Amino acid sequence: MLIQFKAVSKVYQMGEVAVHALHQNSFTIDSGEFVSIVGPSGSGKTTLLDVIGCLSRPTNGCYLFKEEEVQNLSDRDLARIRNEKIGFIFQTFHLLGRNTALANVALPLFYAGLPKEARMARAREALSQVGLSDRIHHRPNQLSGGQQQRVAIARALVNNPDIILADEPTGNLDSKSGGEIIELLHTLHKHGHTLILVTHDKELAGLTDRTITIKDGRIIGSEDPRKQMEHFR
Amino acid sequence: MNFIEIFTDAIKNLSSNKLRSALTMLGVIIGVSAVISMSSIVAGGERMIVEMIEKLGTNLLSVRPKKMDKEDRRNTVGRSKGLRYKDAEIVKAMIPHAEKVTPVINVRTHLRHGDNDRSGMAEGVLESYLEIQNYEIDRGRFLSEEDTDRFKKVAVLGKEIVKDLFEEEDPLGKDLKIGNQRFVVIGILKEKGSLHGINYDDTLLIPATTAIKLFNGNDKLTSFVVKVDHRRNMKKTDEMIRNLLLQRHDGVEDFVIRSQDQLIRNTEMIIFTFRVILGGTAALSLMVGGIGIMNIMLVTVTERTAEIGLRKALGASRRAVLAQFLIESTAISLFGGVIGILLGCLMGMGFGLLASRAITGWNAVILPSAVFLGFFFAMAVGITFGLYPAYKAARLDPAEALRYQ
Ligand SMILES: Nc1ncnc2c1ncn2[C@@H]1O[C@H](COP(=O)(O)OP(=O)(O)OP(=O)(O)O)[C@@H](O)[C@H]1O
Ligand SMILES: [Mg+2]
Repeated sequence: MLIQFKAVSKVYQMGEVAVHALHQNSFTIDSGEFVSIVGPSGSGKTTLLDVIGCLSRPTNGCYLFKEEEVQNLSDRDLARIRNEKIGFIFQTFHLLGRNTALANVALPLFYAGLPKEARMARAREALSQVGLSDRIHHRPNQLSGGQQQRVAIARALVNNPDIILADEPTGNLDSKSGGEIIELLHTLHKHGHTLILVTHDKELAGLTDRTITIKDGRIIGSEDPRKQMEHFR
Repeated sequence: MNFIEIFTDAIKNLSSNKLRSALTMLGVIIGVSAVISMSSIVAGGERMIVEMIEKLGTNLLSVRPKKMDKEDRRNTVGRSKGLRYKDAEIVKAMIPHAEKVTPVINVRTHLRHGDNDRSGMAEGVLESYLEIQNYEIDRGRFLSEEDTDRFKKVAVLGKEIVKDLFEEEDPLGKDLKIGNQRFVVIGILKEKGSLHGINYDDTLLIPATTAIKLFNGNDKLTSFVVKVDHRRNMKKTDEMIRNLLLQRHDGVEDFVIRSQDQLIRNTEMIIFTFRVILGGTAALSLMVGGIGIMNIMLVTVTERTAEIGLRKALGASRRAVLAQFLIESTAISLFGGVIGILLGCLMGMGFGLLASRAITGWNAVILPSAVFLGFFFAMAVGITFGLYPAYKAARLDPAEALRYQ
């Protein structure tokens, strides 16, 4: 079991008011799965992904990532887990505008402490995986939105993570390049990567192994993969 | 962690917003160049004054007859014979801190060699005069004990006298007429220049005993000069000489003792005051520069919140983020410091050159210690004032930072 949530809650304290972004959620995700998360705006999808991605700790409950209790780990350990085991893809790409595609992709390896040659070699490889070998020296503003998101995917891949988390990766793209990105994610899945995709698009969600539906911070449905497959047939 | 890469990254960041970086550096540039240029100006002035004082001779007490009015003279008639040769000898013998003593007997007279003549002053002194007044022998020798003991008619000349009387001729061993007396030139003094309108090269020295015997007829002194062994004994020695002379002069204070100590003390006080003002100004302007850095770094951290969130998501530890921003603020102060050093040296040298043209004895001085200090403080300011913004960046929550638009 890669990920196991046991009654995980996340509460944001805003002065007097407590915002319950996640409410006692329990579920598991196995290695090799492609899971989608859907739900209305403000339902807690990004918050859920933050906790899964070790960007924030749960307020209550127990979160096991590869059998390790995340809520008890130090900031430094969380940073190490994010660096080595998790790849992030964002709606707004989050590329560094001053850096080339290659430098952007190599950044996680810098924090991993790899020597420069190794970083560059692996970043090149990751860029070729997303079909951008001919754009490695371009800066983000010299790339189309779809290309930028592919650079971001290469960056998520470069540390060979256990899981890739994508928060509305097509939200800022037109349908054609969005489609290409989804296709790329499916290709990664076929190659054995574990993925979580947050999306508003029911159709895109339907193409994944399993869909977790969340509302007001509560998971209200986690469709069975097999049933999903039948439905797909 | 690779500091060189973080540093080059910081440079990239700073050069992506050149105007802002330059303006931020300005505070440090002004501070550091102020430190260096002002310290070079103070050092130039200080060196000039020190050289002046050293030219006069250090740790000297000079005893002269006091000008007495009629009233005083009437009251003390017959009690004291004034400042005499014996007074100088007794002081040398009795005062422990009086290291060297020389009487001075001035003889204003006529000087002649061959066809050249002029009026001038011969000073009757002892062999200790050379060291007391910081003269050096250029050629030949100085007056000796034997010259004094035997009332020899020998003379040591300054360059100005040589020029006037001997022109191109080598004066050593030649005759020189002082008044009606024929003297032999035995030595020539090294050039010393002039100070306060006194030309130290317009000097003619003869044995004190000769001066008394040939010109004065009595052993009254123009003055006598005492070199005290150490500066801290100046005041004590001054007091002891006064008491000794009062005793010998039957309680009549017909002499004055003058010292350079007060002059030196005043000078040091002025220099110290300048130093304090300089230090304060420099510290203040560096501080202002530091606040500028802090301000801009806080803005930068806010602007780049999303970037910080991303870096943390990719695995940057708190320390890595802290290092990144600290290196950036340090880079600002580093470049500001280097530019400030160059500018400060330029201003210091420029002022020094101007001053050296206007004031003789002034030299342009750049203190290496000021350069190092300026550099050190620039770095310290960059680190100190960069610390809080960097700390703020380091402890940003990654999830919230990523949501920041
Ligand atoms: N830092 C925070 N402080 C307080 N409340 C927060 C914070 N972050 C999120 N929230 C609240 O938590 C809830 C869940 O937010 P979240 O961003 O996870 O929703 P979402 O499902 O991702 O929405 P969207 O589809 O619009 O991206 C919202 O009500 C939001 O206002
Ligand atoms: Mg969201």
